[in-house]
Amino acid sequence: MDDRRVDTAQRSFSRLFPYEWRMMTPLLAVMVIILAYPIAYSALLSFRNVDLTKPGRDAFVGFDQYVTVLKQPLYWTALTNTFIFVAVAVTLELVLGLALAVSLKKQKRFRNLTRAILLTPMFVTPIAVGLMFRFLLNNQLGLVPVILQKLGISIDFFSADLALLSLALIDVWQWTPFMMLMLLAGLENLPEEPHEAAHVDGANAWQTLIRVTVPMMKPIILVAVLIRALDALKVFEYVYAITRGGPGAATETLQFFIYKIGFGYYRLSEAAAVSWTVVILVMAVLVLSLWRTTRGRSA
Amino acid sequence: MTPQRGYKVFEEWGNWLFAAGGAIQDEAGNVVLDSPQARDALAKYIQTYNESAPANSLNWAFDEALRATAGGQAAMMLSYNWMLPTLNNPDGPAGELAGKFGLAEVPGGKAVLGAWFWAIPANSNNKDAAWTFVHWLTSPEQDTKRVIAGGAPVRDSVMDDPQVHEQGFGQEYYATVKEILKDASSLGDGPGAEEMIQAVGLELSAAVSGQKSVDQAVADAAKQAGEIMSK
Repeated sequence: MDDRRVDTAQRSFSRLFPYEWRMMTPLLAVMVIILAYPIAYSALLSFRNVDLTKPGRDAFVGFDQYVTVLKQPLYWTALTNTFIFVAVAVTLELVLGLALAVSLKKQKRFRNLTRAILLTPMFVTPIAVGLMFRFLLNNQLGLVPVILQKLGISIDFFSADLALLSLALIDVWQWTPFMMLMLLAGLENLPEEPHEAAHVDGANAWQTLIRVTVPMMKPIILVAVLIRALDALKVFEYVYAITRGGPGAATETLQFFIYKIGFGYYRLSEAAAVSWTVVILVMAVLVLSLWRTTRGRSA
Repeated sequence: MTPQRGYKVFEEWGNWLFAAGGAIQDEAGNVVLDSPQARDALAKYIQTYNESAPANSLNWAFDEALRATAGGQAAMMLSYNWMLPTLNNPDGPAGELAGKFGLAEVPGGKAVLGAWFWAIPANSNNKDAAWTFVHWLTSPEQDTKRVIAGGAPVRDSVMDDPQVHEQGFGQEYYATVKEILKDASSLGDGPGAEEMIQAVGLELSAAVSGQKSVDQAVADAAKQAGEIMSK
């Protein structure tokens, strides 16, 4: 073969598969295997009738699974509970995280030590956190009720009214550090000048925080809230470890609902359909919020 | 008590139901949960929870009940018979109290039965090998070894075996287990049992936590159970 023909062959190969794509191939392959394939497969499942305890009935059923799901009152309870959980948990995490980040930024001594200690809850497996609080909050065996009883307070943490809130507070305990970390990183990258200008104009610390710091932090806050909200939406471990969705349906969350249908009753298609309603909802929220910020930035 | 939603509350309440003369399914497998006996049993179960269970224990399951009993904070627990050896183990969770626990039949004469089965899938390629294994495992010799080690007895002869009494957990324990097993019934019979147990367990928990009336909870539980089991 003469050199010129090899050259042309190489050039057309490079044109078809540019350098960037070739470098990305391993990652793309992994993504397809571990992400795209399962997601596509679950979408396919949701339009079929796969039930492990009733083999041989598998067929294309269109939107039947979705109709079955949307007709169940328990699905709507789970949806409402999950959104209350996310709203309470993420709001508290944002407020506490911001307060911690602002105070940590001003800290002069033992900075790294304080940060390391504050970050520890994040490194504990959620199921272990669930079990830990199951016993910590236990009226007879736990430390927290004992301390409260000394003060004359008796709280039924897992009653019908409080159980969901208790689970949200456990999430706050575990994930406020994450919010703090994100916000602290944002705070430390803010320019000093606007703060100095506010100081010169006579703004007090609170006014500076609300009028200067928070508006400048908006993009970081949005990303932090989105990441936390998406994560909180997946709440399963605390429910499984502590309440199993009870009392009644008070802590029935989407992931626990899906788990029961898929792994308890083996109705894989129905479980996939529930999952996809969640995916669609999350996508809608994501697209909307990201679209609003990018529009805000270009304007 | 163990009023946690799902299996736990249903397993426990089932004993109240049987004591009241009620049943979950009839001989033909039809759900017969909507009965005056079931209402009576649920009202009495709630009364027992309010009057006798530790305060604020709505999410309690087997773990908490065991710890409360082992720690001397509860006089008795309604639990699995195989918990007794754990409680009486001097190196177990009960510490100094070990040896002071005994097993008794649940009042009412009929108990809730939890059972595990050996099954061979219809589409298995090795049915004969599977049968040989199950046969070997449940043979008198293997069952004796298994029961001495703490496994659930499946043979009367093993429960009467002096060797088992001596090397296991004593004659009294096996005699009581045998009495319990004489009249015991499972929570559900049929491929939909798991779902039925979860659905009924949710309704019972709603009633115990005051979210639903006894009448409403029993009616809702029976309706769902009927639909699930006839699927």
